[in-house]
Amino acid sequence: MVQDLLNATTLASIYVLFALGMSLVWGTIGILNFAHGSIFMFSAFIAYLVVQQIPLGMPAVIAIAMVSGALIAVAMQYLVFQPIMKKAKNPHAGELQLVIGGIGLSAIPISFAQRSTLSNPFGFSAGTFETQAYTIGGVIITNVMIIILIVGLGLGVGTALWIRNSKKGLALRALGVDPEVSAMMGIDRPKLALATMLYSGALAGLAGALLTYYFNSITSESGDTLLLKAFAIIILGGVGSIFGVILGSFILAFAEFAVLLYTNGSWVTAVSFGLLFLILLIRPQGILGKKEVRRT
Amino acid sequence: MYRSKKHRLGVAAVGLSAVLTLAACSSGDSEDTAATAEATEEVVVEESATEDTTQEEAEAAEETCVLPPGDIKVVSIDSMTGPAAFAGILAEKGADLALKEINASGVLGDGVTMSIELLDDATSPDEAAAQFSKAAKDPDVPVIMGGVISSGAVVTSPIAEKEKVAVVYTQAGSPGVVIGDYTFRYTPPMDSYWGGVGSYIEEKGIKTMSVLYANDNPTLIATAETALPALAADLGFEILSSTGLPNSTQDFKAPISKILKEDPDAVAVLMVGAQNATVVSQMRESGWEAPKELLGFAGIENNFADIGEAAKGVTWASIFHVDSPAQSTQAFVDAVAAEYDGEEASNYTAERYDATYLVANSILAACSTDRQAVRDAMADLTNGSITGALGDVTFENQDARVAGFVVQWDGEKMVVLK
Amino acid sequence: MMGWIDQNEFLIGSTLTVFLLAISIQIPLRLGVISFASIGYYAIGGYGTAILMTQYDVSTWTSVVVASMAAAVVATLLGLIISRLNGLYLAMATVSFSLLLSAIAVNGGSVTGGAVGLFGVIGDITIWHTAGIAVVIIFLVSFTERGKLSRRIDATREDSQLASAMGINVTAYRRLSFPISGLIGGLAGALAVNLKTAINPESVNFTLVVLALTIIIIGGQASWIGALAGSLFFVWLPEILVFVGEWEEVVYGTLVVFAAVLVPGGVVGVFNDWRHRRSVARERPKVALLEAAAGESDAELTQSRSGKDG
Repeated sequence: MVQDLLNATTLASIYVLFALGMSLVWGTIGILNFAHGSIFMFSAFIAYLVVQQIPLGMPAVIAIAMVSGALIAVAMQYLVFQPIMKKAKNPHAGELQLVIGGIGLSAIPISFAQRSTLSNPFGFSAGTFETQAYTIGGVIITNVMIIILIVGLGLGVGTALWIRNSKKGLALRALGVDPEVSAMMGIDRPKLALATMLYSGALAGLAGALLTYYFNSITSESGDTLLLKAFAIIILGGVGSIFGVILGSFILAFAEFAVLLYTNGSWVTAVSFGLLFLILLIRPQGILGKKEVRRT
Repeated sequence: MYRSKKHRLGVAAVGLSAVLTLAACSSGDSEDTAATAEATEEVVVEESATEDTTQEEAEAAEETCVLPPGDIKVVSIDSMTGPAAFAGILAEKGADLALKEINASGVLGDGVTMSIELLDDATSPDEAAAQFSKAAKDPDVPVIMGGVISSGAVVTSPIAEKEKVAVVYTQAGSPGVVIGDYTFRYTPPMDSYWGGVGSYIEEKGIKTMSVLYANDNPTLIATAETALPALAADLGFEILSSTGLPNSTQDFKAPISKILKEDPDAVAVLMVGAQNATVVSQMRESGWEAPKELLGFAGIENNFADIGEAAKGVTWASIFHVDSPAQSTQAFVDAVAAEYDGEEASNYTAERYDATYLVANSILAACSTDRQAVRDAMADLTNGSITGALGDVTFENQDARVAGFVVQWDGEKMVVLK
Repeated sequence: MMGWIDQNEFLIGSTLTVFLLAISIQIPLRLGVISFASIGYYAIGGYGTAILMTQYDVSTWTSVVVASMAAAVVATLLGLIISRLNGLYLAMATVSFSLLLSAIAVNGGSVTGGAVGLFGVIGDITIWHTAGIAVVIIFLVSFTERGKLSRRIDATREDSQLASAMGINVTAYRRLSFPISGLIGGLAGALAVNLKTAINPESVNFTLVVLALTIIIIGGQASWIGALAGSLFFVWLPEILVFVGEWEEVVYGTLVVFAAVLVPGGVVGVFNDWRHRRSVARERPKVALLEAAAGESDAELTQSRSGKDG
């Protein structure tokens, strides 16, 4: 039982790492980034390519993935999302263009990785890091799990507090509530948007590297799977709420765990969609979301 | 120009190993077919005396045949890009090799060559269907080589039956693919040979088993839901649980935890791609070590590159192995190594290689590019046993069957146990 | 010509069914409802037809009609339950509805054939029937793109509050779009399964959602011509892109990105703009003054609108 709880918490931390950047971008600068899964996968893929040449340890691999993710995200924002937002007649029209732009973007890195790996799984086995398992009081925990738990929960809570308490965080929240008024209040929207995308991309890269260590290998399509789950997590917790992401991640991870433990497992895909559908019917703003649904 | 009988006997009966010998010695040489054809004649004549000739094959080449000079164009649909590209690209290496040998040998006749128009379906069933339908409506296409993805094949098979054109698939292990007179498949369905691990199960005294399988992959479903229960009933072991998981599953700690509580003697892992690597390594991290057993399936070795040592001891049944004692397989393995810079031959390459020979031999046996004649010749040829890269292959309702090998991952590669 | 049609029967059939699916998404979209539920309707139409034909020996056309009606009924119910939602929230709800249906298809046992799906659905529908149905639907849809109805629809989409103030029953319009979208989506699935003779969960998953959406955005949201242009473009793209070989997906992604950034109105929108500009250029001397005035009021309108939306 303790083992299951620990494993489910690790899974939740993974979801936090993946969904955090996406939620931040959606909740503040209003971009539902469909290419987030691609950034996640491709950062890990770049790190994999480097590791194939030079056997590196975990910190270097993570650093490469984070830098790659940040660069890709910034490029996407600069070349695609920002021009779309600038051109959009109103936020509503831009919304759909952004989704489509993200879909198009995501196809490009995926096909590069597929071509290069022939769609075989890839991982960091050429690096120097070794997974170690420890048994403490009958519970098995690996060094990767410890890192994921600390980093995932730490970054989740840290980001939430930062958004809530810092001045920049306030500016971001203001952007999420009313872009026009916040611009009048002197918030440099394009600059802040770029910074947010940079952070989100670095998080995607971090998630990509840690997940690849945890699962030992991923494939070119792994990001898409997580993308759909992230939608559920973000809406479950409430768009714009970072604590909501943590809550949503835990609910999804524990629900999936329960389904896998107590049934034959075949309905596990339906868990995320089912939860998403339910919450939208009962409480569309999400569990921790504010009463009014913005961005209609 | 009149062709002597020995040529056809050569290809139809021993073609494979005879021509292979040649390919192995002369690969990379000139493209001059006339010169190589002459060389082949000698080799073929020599070898045909020493090779075992099955009755049916010899009969197929009984009459003399003159095909009109020109290029016989066969259409092949395969996944060269997209998620199934790993299989498609390897498969087409086999087709290319076979084609090169066939044309170099000149067995089809003077001035007669065969070529394959390769269409990439990008792992999309719709694209496969569109391309297939176009090829099937083109009366100049005598026979089609079908795609590797099941979801495409179930759409293209009815088209083949309707347009009365023979199609030979490799992979595409789903039901609904081999459905009538015009559909052939050169890859045995996994559930037909997976039982080969039965001897291993008995030897290790496995009494209980838990199964993890991908519930959205037809081939793996058939293995988990049909082949395994049948094997269990046969050998008297018990299946404690059978967990079908979708391909979106990435973390397996929960099902593993469930299985650890059941404490079986063996776990069968029948997942897709990276999932196999994750399941096996998470099993090991959870303390699953010998004498507890892990069973896999053909193709799983492609997922082990990143976990290497952790996968040591995983055992499964495979239709192909480079260390197979069969002479024809060894000739093929050498030919692949010679053609592709020492590359190790794979099952995907072997299947398509054999399928390409089946196509050529059917055209030769029919002595015609008429669709009906080619399909009838193919039906005749597959009535018997065919020796090729996969060793001895028989067919059940135009669907291939092989004995298979029991293989095990030794930490770096797979080795034959039996 | 007939030879060409015969050879490309499958592609033409695909184009038509994809076009119907796109129309099914476009109708709610024109009212400002981003709905992906059409994939679910498509699944109901497709699976319904396949189940009736293969398991109950119902005749082809009866199966198609019954399954499409079933999709329309489900769509009506869905429209009622999710009527509170708007924008991307509604989009997400409809995505999860569609993916839930595909999970049911995987777990449906012998009824849906599980992961293998259902095959051998051989009926007597030709591409000429499908083309005929498509023409009828184009005819009906084109009515909504002209005159007063068209202006009401545009108003509902562009500014629902303003539309309500003008006496348009926004809720009724939006609610009505569901059964219509359901019927057409179901029909698309029913005809597609007859074309392909098979259906499986893989063919009704998220990939189809993405395809249908890109078709409309690239083609143009405002008119059936956009949906048709988009369907032609995407179904025939692999044929056109044969020369790029393994780079097909990269080219596809790049095209979609370019379209999203550079041509927000879709290909048809660009064409209309161009036509508009040409006619303006021709009559420039006369309309110069008018246009300047219109431009100003346009700008004002945009500003006030975005202020309200933000």
